[in-house]
Amino acid sequence: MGIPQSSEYYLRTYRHGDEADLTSLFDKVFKYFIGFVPRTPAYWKWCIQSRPNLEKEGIAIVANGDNIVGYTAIEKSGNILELCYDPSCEGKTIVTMLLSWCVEYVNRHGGNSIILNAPAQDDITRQVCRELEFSEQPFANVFGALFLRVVNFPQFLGKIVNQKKNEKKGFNETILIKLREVPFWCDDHVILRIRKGRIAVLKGKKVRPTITIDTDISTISLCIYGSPRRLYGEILKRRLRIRPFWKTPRAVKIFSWIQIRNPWYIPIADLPIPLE
Amino acid sequence: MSNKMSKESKYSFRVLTSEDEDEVMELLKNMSNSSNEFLVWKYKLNPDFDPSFAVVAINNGQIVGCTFWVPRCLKISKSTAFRATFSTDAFVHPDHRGHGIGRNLVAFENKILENKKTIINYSVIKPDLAKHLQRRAAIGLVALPASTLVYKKYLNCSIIKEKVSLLNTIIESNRKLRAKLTEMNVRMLFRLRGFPSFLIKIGPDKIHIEEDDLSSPDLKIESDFALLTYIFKNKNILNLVKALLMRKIKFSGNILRAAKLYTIFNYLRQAHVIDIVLR
Repeated sequence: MGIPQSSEYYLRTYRHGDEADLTSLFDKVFKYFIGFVPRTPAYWKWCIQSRPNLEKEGIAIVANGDNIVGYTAIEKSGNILELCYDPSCEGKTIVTMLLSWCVEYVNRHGGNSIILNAPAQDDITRQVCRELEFSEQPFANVFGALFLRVVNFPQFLGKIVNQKKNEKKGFNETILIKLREVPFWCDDHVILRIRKGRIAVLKGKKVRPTITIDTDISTISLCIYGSPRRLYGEILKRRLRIRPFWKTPRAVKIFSWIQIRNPWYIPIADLPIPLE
Repeated sequence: MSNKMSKESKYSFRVLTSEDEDEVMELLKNMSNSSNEFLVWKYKLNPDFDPSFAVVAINNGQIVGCTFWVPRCLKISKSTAFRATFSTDAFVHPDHRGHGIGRNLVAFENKILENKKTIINYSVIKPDLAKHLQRRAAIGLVALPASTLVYKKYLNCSIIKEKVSLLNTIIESNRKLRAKLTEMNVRMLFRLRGFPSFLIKIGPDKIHIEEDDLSSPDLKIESDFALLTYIFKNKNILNLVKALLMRKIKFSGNILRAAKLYTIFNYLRQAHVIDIVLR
């Protein structure tokens, strides 16, 4: 199997100075994802170029004239550290060119396999991988799952709420969140006050709440990262208790509003683990 | 900043210093099977690495455990990012495990995170290890919903060849198994997504693997390499039944031969040969 040719795009190797374009393409493509490290030329140089097992020839770029529209970085052993393409261009052609080049590169260096991780919602990469006979499995089966732990819950909630402050929702509530199983350094009471479009996250207990939520830190974290369905599940399992009960629909609405729905994605380049 | 576990405790905890570097590197090298070159890249060359986030456990002046957390900026949406840390390594020397060192390392690390105004800590962890950590030290550790896929393609059969050669070594030293194999003469063709097609010939004296001559198989198995590996490693018969019912694994060929094959597979399983090969 050879590398497909395109009249519009061509493949080339990395040239000194490309890193600024590569990092801006990466940040543009993955800006909606949680988990990856925003790229700077210094970080990119560390996580890609100075990585052991990566040769200078292990970086392939697809360009259209002077514009970089896709690139990949692969170790001799077959681990694709990053694969990125501009979705506004012909994604399928670019990904096919890059992956076919990777197969040829690993074959040339005597590697046994190629491994790539990509967002599940990236249909183009999925389609090309299927056509090139790649097998597919969840990230957790190979590397493990991405675990988060909130160290400072009031600050965490404050930042999320702040990000949403421009979305007018017309809530007027004072919510007291009572947290169980909280680490000793953390406040176990957090107040979320929403009044006339203003939102504040406060510490302490001295308020007269309109809604009280009694839960533990794992459940509330899961409800913030997870889907709205999870929220109902936790209420039914009584891991998240809302008082007065009749305010449950209102609390659910507020939770759905603050939920983080962006999917997460970590390229292999961001995982400082020894790979096969 | 330093801390003692209790009055009687023989362990103390403190932030990593430049004098500890060689000792910690040696410990990491032994515990993580990483090369020196890899560790130098991971920590010394890392522009984000800050030794004040690394904690060591000391016993009689020797480092017996450590945790390394790298400060990072964690994006949670297009415009919002958190001050976070990424856990890269956590080790306790095998001779000192079971004394609560891991729990105390994490507790000490938490104090550092609090002082440095870190909001989130994240890491990629195997789920069974995460359960253990959650119980012991890391309160509030939650897994994010899966949204990343791994695509894998094997370019040659070397991994299967290694397993077959290991199996043949076991067969050679096991007379009973050899006798069972003489009754067999089965050709199984595997067409697996993510793997080159190959044929396994069982018997009469040993197991052979063919990559070129894939003709006249008695049994044909079509599936996905990642799925088959997952089913074998988890040893859950329900997963196999589910995959068969959903036609994710397709068998075709001589059913009587398949039954015979099942008997030998069962024997291999009872003799723990399958476990050895899968290890």
